[in-house]
Amino acid sequence: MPSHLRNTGGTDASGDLVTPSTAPVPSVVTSGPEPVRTITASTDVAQTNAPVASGATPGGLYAPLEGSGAVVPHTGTPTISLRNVTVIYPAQPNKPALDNVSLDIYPGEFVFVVGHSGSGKSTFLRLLTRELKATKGDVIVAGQNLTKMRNWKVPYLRRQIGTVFQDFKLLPDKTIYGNVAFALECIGKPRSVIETQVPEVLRLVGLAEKMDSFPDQLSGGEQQRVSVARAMVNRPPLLVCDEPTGNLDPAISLGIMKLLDRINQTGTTVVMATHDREMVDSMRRRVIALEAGEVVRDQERGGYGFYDAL
Amino acid sequence: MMPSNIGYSLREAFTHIRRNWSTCLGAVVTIFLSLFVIGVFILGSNLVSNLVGSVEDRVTIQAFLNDGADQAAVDAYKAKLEGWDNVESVSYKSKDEALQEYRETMSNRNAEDAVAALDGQNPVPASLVVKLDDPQQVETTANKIVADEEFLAIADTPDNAAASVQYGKETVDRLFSVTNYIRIGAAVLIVLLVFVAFVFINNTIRLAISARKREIAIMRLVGASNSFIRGPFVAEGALEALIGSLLAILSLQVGWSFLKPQLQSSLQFLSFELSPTVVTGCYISLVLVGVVIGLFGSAIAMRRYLKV
Repeated sequence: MPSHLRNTGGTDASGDLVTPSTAPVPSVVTSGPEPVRTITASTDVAQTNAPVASGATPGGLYAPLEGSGAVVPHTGTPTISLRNVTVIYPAQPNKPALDNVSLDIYPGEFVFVVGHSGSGKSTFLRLLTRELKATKGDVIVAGQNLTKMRNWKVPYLRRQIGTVFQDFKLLPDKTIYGNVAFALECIGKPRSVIETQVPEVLRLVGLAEKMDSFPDQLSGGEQQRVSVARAMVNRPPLLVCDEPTGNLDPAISLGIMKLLDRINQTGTTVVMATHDREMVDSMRRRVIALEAGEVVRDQERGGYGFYDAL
Repeated sequence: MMPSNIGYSLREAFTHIRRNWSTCLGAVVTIFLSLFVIGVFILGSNLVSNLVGSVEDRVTIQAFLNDGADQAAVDAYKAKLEGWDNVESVSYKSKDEALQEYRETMSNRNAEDAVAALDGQNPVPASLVVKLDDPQQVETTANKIVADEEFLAIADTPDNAAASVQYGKETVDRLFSVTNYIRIGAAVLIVLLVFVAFVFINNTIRLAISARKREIAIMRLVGASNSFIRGPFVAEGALEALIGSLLAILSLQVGWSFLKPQLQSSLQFLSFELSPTVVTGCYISLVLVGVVIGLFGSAIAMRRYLKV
């Protein structure tokens, strides 16, 4: 098995991102005629949507998701570590977007980042992929200090981080297969790897039959699953999501959340910015709340909060 | 600059050119016209300097000798002149030869009367004809001869040595100033045309980039290296420039093969031969200039989109 297919516990091939040994080890079998990913088991996300959609109607709140909410022990080297990070945009020199923020996120965690618009959520996420440089302080991702990182190294950092956005960012003139394959083509993977890995990850997100469709033939939820597939196809140890359910209806959102949850259970660290109160409340994972650029709450098994503000 | 994805880049570039052929056509035509005009200037200035060269070859210094000059002294002085730095060769023209030449020139000008009036005498002095390595130095060398004591001894008019030394001063000066102006003008024009072609390629690639902004954003998102992102665009610029330069070469070749017989037949006394080395060199440099313009034009257009 090529080492880049792995996202196993312990030190991975690059030696950077470490997932805890308690996490289930996904194994990818590429030798057989049809690759099988054990973590997908028999559950297909596409099938799980319908019953939940009907069940969500009476109370309006989701039932807590099965198998989620486990507190990940804070051991080992943090995947993400912010040390007194301040970000000041030139347009607003007196109002820092992040103000002296320090926090650690450990391998295998599922972290919600919540806060009002303008509280600094997106700034935080953009720091992680080095779309933005901290004005002051150190951002350490995968053992690398992004504040000091040379520009030419940034693409290699991003290969270890999957990103999902509210607006999907799919290419309209490429098929679903093409969109996911594009992510591997861009980093120079050989065709043989692309041909095995892309159908596999599309099966993981439950879109194996829609491989040859184009994005505008798919529903919003399906498009978002494609973008999750694209983020995961290279098996990154860290997944960063910026309001992935922002313009999806609650039932579809739940499908996406289940998908992300399952990805998390394979050992992938997930950081997700969201406004979806019910989702956060039902998932009961670590919640980091930002307000005016400061961390006002960092809570294991937390809720969305901010009830007073509404 | 070229990454490992040359095949991918070229495929992408071809696809894009096919899909946006009208924009790309603009770039190709601009490159083609610029390189064509540059080629015309290079070949043209070569032609002119060939013509001028044949005239320059005729720029010689004539040092007229006294009729009574001692033949031994003349030979000695001839040997001395041949030893000078800039002198290519020195030949002795006797009185008879000079008269013969005079007759021919005069009859060419239909002035047989003047020849007849000579009436058996020979007033034309013998002379030393000095050919120079560098025709531009003609004045210096002439002055050197005038100032030479040894020459005074055998000069036709020892009182006024300057009158004994002749060279086509004004012709030479005019010729040189004209050819220099032509050279400067051609150089300036070539620089301008290269700049125009560069700007145009740059612009075309800019359009191509803005049409594919989303794609570039996603490429950066998934961690494509800068050289990978740059690849298709640089390949496109280079391809357009290559097509343009090949068109320019083709039309130069065709145009010259039509023009040359006509020039030759109307101006028979001049030679319109261009040496194959010059022509090949010109074509190769056109392709090189074109490709360099394409590569740099697109690479510079990309720069803004590759900032992390």
